[in-house]
Amino acid sequence: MKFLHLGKYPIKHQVVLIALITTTLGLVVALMLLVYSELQTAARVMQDNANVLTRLVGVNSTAAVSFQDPEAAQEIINALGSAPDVIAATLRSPSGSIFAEYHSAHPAHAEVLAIVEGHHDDADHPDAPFGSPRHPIGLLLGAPFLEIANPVLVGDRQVGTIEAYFDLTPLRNLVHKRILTASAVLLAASLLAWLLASRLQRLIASPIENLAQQMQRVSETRDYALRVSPDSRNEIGTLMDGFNTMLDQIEARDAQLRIAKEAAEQANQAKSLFLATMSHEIRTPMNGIIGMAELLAYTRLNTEQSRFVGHIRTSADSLLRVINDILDFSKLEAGRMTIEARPCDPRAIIEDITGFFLHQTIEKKLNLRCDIAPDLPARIEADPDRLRQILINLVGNAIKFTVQGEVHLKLEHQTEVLGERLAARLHFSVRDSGIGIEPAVLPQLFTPFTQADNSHARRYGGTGLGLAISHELVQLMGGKIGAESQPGKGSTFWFSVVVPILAAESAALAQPEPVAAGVVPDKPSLAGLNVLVAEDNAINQLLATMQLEELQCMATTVDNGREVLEQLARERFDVILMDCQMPLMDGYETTRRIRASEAEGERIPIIAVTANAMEDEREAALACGMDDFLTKPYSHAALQNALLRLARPGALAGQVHCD
Amino acid sequence: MRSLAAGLWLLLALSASPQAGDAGPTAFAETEVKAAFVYNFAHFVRWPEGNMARSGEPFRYCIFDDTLAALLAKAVAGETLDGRPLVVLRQPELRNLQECHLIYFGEQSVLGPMLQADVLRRLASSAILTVSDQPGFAARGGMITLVRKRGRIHPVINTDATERAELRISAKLLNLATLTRDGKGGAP
Repeated sequence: MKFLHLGKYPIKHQVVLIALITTTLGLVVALMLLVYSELQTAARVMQDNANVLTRLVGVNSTAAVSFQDPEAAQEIINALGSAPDVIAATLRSPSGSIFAEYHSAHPAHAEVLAIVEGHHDDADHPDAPFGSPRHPIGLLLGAPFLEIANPVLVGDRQVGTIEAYFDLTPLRNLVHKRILTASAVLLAASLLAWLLASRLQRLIASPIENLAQQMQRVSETRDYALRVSPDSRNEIGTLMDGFNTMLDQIEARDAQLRIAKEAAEQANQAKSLFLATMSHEIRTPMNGIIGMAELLAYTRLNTEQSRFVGHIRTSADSLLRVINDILDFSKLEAGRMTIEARPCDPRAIIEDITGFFLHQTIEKKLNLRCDIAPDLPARIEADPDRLRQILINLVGNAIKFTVQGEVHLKLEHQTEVLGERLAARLHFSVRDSGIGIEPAVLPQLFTPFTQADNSHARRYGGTGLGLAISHELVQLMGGKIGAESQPGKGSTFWFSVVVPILAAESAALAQPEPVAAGVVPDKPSLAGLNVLVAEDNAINQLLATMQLEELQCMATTVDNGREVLEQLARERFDVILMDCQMPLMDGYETTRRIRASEAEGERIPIIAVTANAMEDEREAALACGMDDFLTKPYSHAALQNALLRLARPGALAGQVHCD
Repeated sequence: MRSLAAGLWLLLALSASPQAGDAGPTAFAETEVKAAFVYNFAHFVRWPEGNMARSGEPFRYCIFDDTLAALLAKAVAGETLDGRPLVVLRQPELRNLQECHLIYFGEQSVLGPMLQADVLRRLASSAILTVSDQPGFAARGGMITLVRKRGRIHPVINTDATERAELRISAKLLNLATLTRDGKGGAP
């Protein structure tokens, strides 16, 4: 059926069309055969009759011819006049002369009679062969008349010839009539077939249409609980059953997937909770170690003791970095890492880094070289903490894997247009003269938990997360990161980010956060500040007390939130250091209660202290009314700055550095 | 003239010789027509089975007329009737007449009227077709008389005589001919 191009029509039209075509074709063939065979029969009967008639006249006229009686012959031949389709007949002597003849007087025959007579003017007599073979109907329809000739025999001697001419008009009329009838039958039957098919197509088309509608509804509403009700037991019913079965399966799978998804989400939540708990549990003692080591460094120590304290600090820092790496990585993995955009000075970032690694390079006797393009924009919009984190990773690695030679840190830039704003493409690169990396390992460097060589991990330590974190951070910033290396000849790690350039005038507001380095000596005094420390861990209580004493503050410690409220009722404090996780009443609840009980215009500054480094922890703390946030372990300087910001705002205002 | 032309045509048809327009004396032409009639009667008359029993036996024309006999002999040469050869006997012996199938008594018959009547009487119940152009032949017991009518030769058939002889005349011939009875009854 391809030739009909039926595929583009709806099924109901196809069904009707097929029924119509089939019926019409069958009818045409049947009618053609029927009409043809009927006409053939009619032609045969007509010829047979004509033949018999002619032969009869011939036989009857033998005596008349034999005994030369033209009157008798005329009488016999005239009898042909009773046959309506005889036009003319001639009885001839063997020599061809006419013995008797008959011409029809019927007016309808006049025309053909003229043809017959004209025909005899230039033709032999008779020109039809004796024995009159039957002519096919096609030949008859084309001929003007039918001529039949028979010999007149007496015994086996021919005494004459009889020729008769028959009118073919009745046969032609019959043909016309039959063709007309057949056409009428065909038309009527096709009409009937069309009517029937139009009604019956619903049997086939409507279940299919129904199914198609149901399927569309299911796919539109995504309601897989819908079912098709099969109303027939044939293939369409099977199709509908199949569709229903598919819906069952989809529904079942949906349910399974929902369960699996819920399980996965639960597992993920459990993991996050575990990470948060672990982070808190580790940071709390780390706070003690780092804080105590710091405090110890301020006491009078001999050289050996100083070195030991230094080692404790370095080790604690390393451990803290590892914990931070793992936290960062799990944040990145959960997609919860956000990149900030705030004004900062790129040059300051590089200087921070060199300051940060100064001690290490000196210890390893390495040369840390730093190149900054002189026309570098002074103020950009970026996340300086993250940029610093990436650079610490790259430079830290370079120092770690370099035994001798130098580490070269370079910052180049290129001005670009980012939308309507002017932007700079910052290209950071860190080149070292270290051991280098095998080419085969290079592509895997930025995937997590991969180090150039497992033996390196043993020799040099590290989580193997640094580069993976850097890679993720650069991608979050919309930048690129890469590495080139040759074993034995050192490596170059680089990354580039496009950042908007800000006007240099407001650069004064940029506040490079001081890297942990000791207390800045010329800061305003916090002496006499009355601080309430809410902390359930005894070591951290002690640490906080000693740090505050170092800052010449007065410290009162309590173990939980309830004691805070009790203490506040008894005494007035300038500031509260509030640990968030405490037994009986946690820091959040305590803060909410304090804020609720405070009168108009009265507000005691509260600094949240928590071992949870997660971002949402800070938000939760600020949301319940706390004013600042310190993450354990916090440095001496961080505490000092927080206290200055909250308790001595006026004092600090005059002390702002302008770089 | 018309009868002459017709007679000539018939003769020509029989002899298949295309010599139309060769007009002869009237009497001769008439004899020719009569010869043709005599020849043709054999085709339109059926003899009883017994008479024709032996197949292959010739059909005998016994002619008491010299002119006609000659003409007929010419016409029958090589012809057959139902597979029988046709034989013309001129002025046959009287004792052999029983073997004839058809006897023609011409005007110039050698038999006298008395002898002829006697022969007819003797052959009355035999299956022999008797033909003559003598007037009153039927009344004397003859079967077919050739008469002149409207300028043409016309057969007159005595059906009583043919019935007596058990000869069956073809309806086609009966249609053309004038029928008569001799009053002596049909049955033998």
